[in-house]
Amino acid sequence: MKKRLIVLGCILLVILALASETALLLYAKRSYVSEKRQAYASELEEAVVKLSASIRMGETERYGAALVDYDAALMNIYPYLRDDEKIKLEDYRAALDSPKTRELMSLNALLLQLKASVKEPQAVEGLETEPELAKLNGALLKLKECEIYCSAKDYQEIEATLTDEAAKLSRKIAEMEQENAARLGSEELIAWLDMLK
Amino acid sequence: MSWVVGLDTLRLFAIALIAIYHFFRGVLPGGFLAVEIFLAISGYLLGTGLLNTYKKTKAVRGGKFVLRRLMRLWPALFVCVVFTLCLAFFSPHGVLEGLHLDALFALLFSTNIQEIAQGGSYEDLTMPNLFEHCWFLALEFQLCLSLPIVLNLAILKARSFKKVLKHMLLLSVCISLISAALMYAYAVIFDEINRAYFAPDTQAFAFYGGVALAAWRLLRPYPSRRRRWPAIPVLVAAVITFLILAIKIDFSQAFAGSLQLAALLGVIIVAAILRLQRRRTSLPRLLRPLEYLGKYSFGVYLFHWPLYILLPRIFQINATTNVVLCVVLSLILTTIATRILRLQLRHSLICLALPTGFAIFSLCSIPARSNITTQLEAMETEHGAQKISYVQTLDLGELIENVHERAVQAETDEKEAATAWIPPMPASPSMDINSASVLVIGDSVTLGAKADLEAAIPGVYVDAMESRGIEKAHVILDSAAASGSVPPVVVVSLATNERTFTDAIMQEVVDSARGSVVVFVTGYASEEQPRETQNAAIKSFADSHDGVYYADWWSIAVSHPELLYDDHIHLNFEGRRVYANLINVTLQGAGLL
Repeated sequence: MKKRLIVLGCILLVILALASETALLLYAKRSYVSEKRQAYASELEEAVVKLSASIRMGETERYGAALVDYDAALMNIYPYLRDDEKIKLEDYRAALDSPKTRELMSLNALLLQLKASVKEPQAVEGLETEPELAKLNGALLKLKECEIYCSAKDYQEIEATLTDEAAKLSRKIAEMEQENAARLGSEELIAWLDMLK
Repeated sequence: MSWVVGLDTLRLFAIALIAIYHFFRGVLPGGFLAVEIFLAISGYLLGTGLLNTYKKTKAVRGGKFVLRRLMRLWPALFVCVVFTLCLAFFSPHGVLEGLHLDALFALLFSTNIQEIAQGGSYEDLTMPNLFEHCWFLALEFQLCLSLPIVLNLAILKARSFKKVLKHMLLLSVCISLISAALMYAYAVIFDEINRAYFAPDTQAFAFYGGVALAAWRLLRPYPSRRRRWPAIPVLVAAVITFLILAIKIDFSQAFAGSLQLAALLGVIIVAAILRLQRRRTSLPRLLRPLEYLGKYSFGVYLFHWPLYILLPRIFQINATTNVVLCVVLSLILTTIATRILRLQLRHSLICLALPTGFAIFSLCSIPARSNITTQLEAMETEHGAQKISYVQTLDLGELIENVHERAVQAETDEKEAATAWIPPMPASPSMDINSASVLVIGDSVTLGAKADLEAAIPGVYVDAMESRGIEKAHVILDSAAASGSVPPVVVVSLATNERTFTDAIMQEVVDSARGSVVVFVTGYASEEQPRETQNAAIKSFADSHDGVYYADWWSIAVSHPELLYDDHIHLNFEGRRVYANLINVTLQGAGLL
């Protein structure tokens, strides 16, 4: 009788231990997973913002560092994601690290130089593949010469070039913005990351 | 208990491997395998203690056994938690995230369950758990809870103590094998690494290996000489194999047999040390300090991890300093904690009251959401407000408007110039040549622009006359030098009538200027006689001589014939303004004004 009681007691103890472990596990899992998702989603968000900023500024080094940050954040959040969430973030990663993004970055770098050239005209190198930018740069350099003298005709020519090429470039930029918003869609991603929390 | 000495050295070996694994990632990728040694030692010691008690009392007394174990582990754990919370108060970083729960799990011996639930890892240093290492204490305590149950099963139908030992040996071996298989199944088949590594059922093989060793040794306390085995070669071989495993195997590869092999080696090493311990009651004198360290290895294990995480965050120290400080402070804190816990209970409580109070204050002062979350939220708000775009914008509207205004102005000026009445020249220059800061020597082109030059350039003296050639320049300069001094800047605009602008002639002018800066103006004299050769000579001379500059009137005149009268030489109203502006901009550009 005593031995039976001992065996029953042992079984009861094991069941109790398992039940308490399960309860503890469920509680811990619920609170920790949501806490981790929240923190790591914020980390991801920060990396996404850094990435878009580095692409917009055409800064290759900062882009590389931001990509590393994104990967680290992705690795951290990975265990807490569902499969569809993993796919979405991996797709975004693939879109980021594509030749198109790199092309976009070099164009942004040229655009930045051109913007600087508006304030202090200078010859921008590497414009061979960008006819609109090359013509704009030429017009700005010509405008610099006007410090000494330009006739009304010169000014009119410069004005026409600036107006035409700036309009062409604006259209091109708008198209690229649209294309990249569809491809990379970081605003949409940020909203999605908010929901992830 | 002479054997404890040898086991303390083994503990030191194990804690060293674990510390190296934590401190220097990559140096000893399999350093974590040393936990199997700890488990084997615990299994052996607890198994021996429980079986000996049963032998004496003929009763299991599981509650008393667990309570004793609790009293051995919990006070030290409590001190570690208190000290860590006190130190965490000074940490400004995100390690405080969920600290209250981490501490609670640690104190309830449930950190391993927490780790399984949240998928924690030592690798995660972004949001590290300060009590992550307590998973091992939790595991050991849970295994310790299971030991009286197994002994109760072992005594069923056992008529003698020898039978109990045999049953215990058999049960322990079975549990070890099942546990090793479970570890393999969870990790390799189901890919549940955390579940496999942290759970007590999958980590029981080393512990029950130690229990089996305890039962075996009690079963055969005095083996005959014939049955004795060569302990030293076995010990050396086992330690070397263990080290090779620790060097070669990393965490991801460990579950397919390495952890199980490490446990077996741990049991063999413990057995060999115990076998050797029969001949020697203490280690050689040289190794005594190591024995001391081994004795306190539990404390070092408790303190090293929170210190390793917190110190660099509080003091901004580098990795090497952090490791040295970790080791030293761990030993100091262990010694202090040991001294406190060795006091009478009342005195211990008095000593711990203040740190405990501060630890509670530290916990309460940690905001529900720690710094890192707050920072991330702030960043999120900031970034949320800003439009995210991948492409640069380019707005030239203002510039285009400005150019348009200038075009309209230029057109108006040109129309006015075409119909303007040209005022007569002033009778004589108001400026004296010797007191002027700029002397312009020119021909009829310069003479036409004299008023504009005087208006554009402050302190200018213009000496211009029709049909002048370059030979007149040094005559004027010599005369100026004779009457006083040559002005610091001399502009020579005599290229209209001169075809032979050689270096020698220009050098004569420069010499006559007596150290003053000389600016030559290129010339233009209609499309038929464009003066390209002498203009090239002027540019070349200026480029190769210090203190000599040129103003390129020729470039402007060629592309803007509308600035000239019909003779294509002399300047109209607009041309004079541009000519004066050219010289002014050139002097300013060279820093001469």
